[in-house]
Amino acid sequence: MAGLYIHVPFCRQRCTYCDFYFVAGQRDHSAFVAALCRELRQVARRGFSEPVSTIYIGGGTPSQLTSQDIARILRGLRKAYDAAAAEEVTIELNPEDVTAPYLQALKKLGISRVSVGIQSFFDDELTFMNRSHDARQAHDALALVAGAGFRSYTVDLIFGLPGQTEDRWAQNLDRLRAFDAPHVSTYSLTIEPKTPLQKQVARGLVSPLPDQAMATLYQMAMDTLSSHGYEHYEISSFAQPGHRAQHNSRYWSHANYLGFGPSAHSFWWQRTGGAARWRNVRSLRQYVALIRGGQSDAVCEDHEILSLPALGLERIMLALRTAEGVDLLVLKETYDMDLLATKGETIARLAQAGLVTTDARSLRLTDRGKHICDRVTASLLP
Amino acid sequence: MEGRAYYARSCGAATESMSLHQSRIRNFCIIAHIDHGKSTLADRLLELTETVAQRDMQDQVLDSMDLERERGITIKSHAIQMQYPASDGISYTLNLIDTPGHVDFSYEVSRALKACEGAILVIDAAQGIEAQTISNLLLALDHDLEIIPVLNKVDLPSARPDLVAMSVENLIGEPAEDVLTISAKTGEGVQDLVEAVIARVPPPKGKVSAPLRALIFDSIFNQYRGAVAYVRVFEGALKRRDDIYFMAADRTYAAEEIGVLRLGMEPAEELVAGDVGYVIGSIKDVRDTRVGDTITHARRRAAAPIAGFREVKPMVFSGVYPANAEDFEDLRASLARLQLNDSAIVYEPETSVALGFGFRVGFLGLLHMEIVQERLDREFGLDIITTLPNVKYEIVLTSGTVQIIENPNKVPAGNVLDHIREPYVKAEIITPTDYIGNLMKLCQERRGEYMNQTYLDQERVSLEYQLPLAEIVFDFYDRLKSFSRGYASLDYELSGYRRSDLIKLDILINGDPVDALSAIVHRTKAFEMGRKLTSRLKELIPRQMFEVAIQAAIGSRVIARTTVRAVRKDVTAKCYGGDITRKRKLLEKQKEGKKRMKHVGSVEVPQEAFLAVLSMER
Repeated sequence: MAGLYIHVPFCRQRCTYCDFYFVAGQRDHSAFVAALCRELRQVARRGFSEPVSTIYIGGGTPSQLTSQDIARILRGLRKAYDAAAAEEVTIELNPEDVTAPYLQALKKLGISRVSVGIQSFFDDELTFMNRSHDARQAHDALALVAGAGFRSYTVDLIFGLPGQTEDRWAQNLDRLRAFDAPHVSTYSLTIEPKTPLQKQVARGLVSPLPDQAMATLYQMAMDTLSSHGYEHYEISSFAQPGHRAQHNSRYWSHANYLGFGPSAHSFWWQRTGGAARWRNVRSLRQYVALIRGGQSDAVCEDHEILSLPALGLERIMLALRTAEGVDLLVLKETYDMDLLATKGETIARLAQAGLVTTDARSLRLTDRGKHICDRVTASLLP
Repeated sequence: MEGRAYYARSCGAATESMSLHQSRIRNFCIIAHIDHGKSTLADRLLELTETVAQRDMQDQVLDSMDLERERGITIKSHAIQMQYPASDGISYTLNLIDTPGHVDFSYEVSRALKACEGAILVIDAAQGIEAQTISNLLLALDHDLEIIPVLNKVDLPSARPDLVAMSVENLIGEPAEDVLTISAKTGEGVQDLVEAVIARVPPPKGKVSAPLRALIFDSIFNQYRGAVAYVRVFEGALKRRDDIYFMAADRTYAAEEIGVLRLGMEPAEELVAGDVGYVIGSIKDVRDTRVGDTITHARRRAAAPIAGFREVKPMVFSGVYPANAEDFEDLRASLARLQLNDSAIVYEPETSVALGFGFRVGFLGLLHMEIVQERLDREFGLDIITTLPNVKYEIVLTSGTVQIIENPNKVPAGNVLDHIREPYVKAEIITPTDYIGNLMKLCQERRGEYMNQTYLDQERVSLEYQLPLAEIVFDFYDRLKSFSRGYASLDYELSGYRRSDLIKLDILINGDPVDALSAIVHRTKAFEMGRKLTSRLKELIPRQMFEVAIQAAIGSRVIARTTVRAVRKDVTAKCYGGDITRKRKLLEKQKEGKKRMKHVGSVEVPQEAFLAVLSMER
């Protein structure tokens, strides 16, 4: 089984923190949609053709596309792939694009889950991030989504904006809770290289929130959401029972996934051992041209074959982020990595310091450990 | 072949009349403080005597090591022979023997002086006399050298030749009006100076028929020829293929090649009393050609060696460790190769809990230590960590036995230790009178004992102190310079061991002692040193997953403590399909970085912490 990711590289405007690939202000999406359908067909023909378990349409801003365009994409996908057993079909929506008819059209197309990029319920914060919607639109969109009858939906929220107070973050969490969304992703604001935000910081116009304050806000999210029945099943992901993100979970468990569209990433186990990872070209123009020429393989860049030790390292890094933690048995059998034997002392010390809990079978982060997940990961590397 | 022509000349002279040969030789050196223009003057002499064609002139030919040229100091002494047709119509052989210009190398200086009959004393007409110039001058006077004082840089607007000439008169009695003035930069007055050398420096004496006695005043290592001894023949004659005996080293070799030193080595058949030259004899170890040793004939030995030979003993010790553990063997090989041309280095393997396998290396002084470190880095490409430098201590046990230690971690437990003795030096500081107060304060802070004070002239004074060597090996010279706006100068010599109230100060990280940071300090300074070390380490040790306690302790008593708080946040927010590669690469890079971390218990300490602590102001 494989997960399929479709990258829709269109945005109305650039959010200051975003480092995804996108183009702004493009109205005619037909060339892209056509290329996408052809890429799906070409890749499937090249042998990457397992039945599909999850579909995720992300971006960019997929809701920039009309429901007709989305229908064409899904039709193309179902022609190229066996998606009959797909258990989750997600699409990302920006609040300003959400209307009742649009949601109904998506539902009819088989979309089972929507992800709404709310980010904040406050105008000043949305303006700071250069989001293309306001607080009113965020509120209205969420009300519509909640009532539209999708099997599930998720809300994105960002915390730790420069100067954000605990009180303000608490209010964001409160407003979110009023909707009782089945799934929430909360991200601490990260200053990515080459983003407008990074330039603002470099120029001294903006100072990032101190680590201590950031940690407090994260802890607030953990406390609030878990006390309301959410399961903190991944560093940034909270779900009510039965509502975990299936597609994203594939990333964390090293399952096969294929990415379509410019800048999309793929991961595929090799029959000969090891796994391959690659990324599509980060240019819409080149992407369309290459696909038109039938060269879906030439779209791939940064192609690498990962050795078992590199994969083992990834597996630790990914699994430690999840509630289930690192499965020590899987690590030993699939990746030939005996963490207890090589890192027993470190694990004991981490446990003693209250950063992890462990039994013979697994290794999981405690709440304290989650705050310094990357650090703990680094200490476990061979 | 100018060399050959010269060789014929000198040999001819040697056979016709020995005294005539000697009467046309002048062996001399130049004594000067750093930057007073010794090397520039040497360059002018080479030009004037046409030893080097002007077009081949590279600034400061004598300082051949890159390091020397960069620092403007001579580390090793060298020699060069020049021919000069004097105004009396006679061509003279001038042997210029260069002397090292730093206090770490005073023994080498004394041997170079011994090889000469005269010395040009170069004094900067703007800066005046410096401590080191005086100490070298006194050494030269001890060796009965004819001193020709000369004021350099008279072309500088800031030059005060009259005033400086007066202090020269006060110092050596040379009438101020007779002091020569030159500009080594422009060449002005240099010819007169050479004529003065010929007129005033006595020609060498010594019987050619007597048993051979040749003084080694320097030696170098040539990777193809082995050790090369630079010698001054005092008595007798040395011929090619003679069997020679090194008296202190107690070794016999054949003189496979002998010759004179011009810009390169020029072979000759014979060196006789009065000559300066070189000897090569398949000598594999530079330690067999020790500076100060006497070469005589194997079968017709001299009755006694030339007086003054001394084993060179290192004064300062430090642990030297490879930054990457796998470079240990490379470090061993590099030290061995360095020792080939720097016999003053001694080393033996040691281990440190914090730093792994390395060596305890002995140096002549702090400058020598820096030079060795830089050479390891530049010539051998080795990344090294050095521990706090220390001196050699005498440990007196309750049983009365005395142990000598070069590593603070060898201090025995309190119940068997009676007391510690440390080396003292007699230090001479020459300073403009304005800074006397500052410098006395500095010496006092460094546990100095005031001995004497002498006015050299109205503006300059010489201060004499007894100081613990340990107090001056560590940044004393820099402080001296900053306390005197760069004007004061320092010279010192070892004066013996004294009992002191010394204790071993340990640094503990989360309870584990960091052996590489242990130090022997005076009790009165332990608290401050502990406080500074712990707060410096607090800045250098990055936050970790756990809180890190840094303590300074004497025995079991903690005297200072700082804490590095645990890291609060280190987590990537988003980790989806497109983020994994980047995140993995980041981790792999971190893993590489971690290799450069040293582990003290569970705490990762960056190497920079060790280095920074070393360069820390006390």
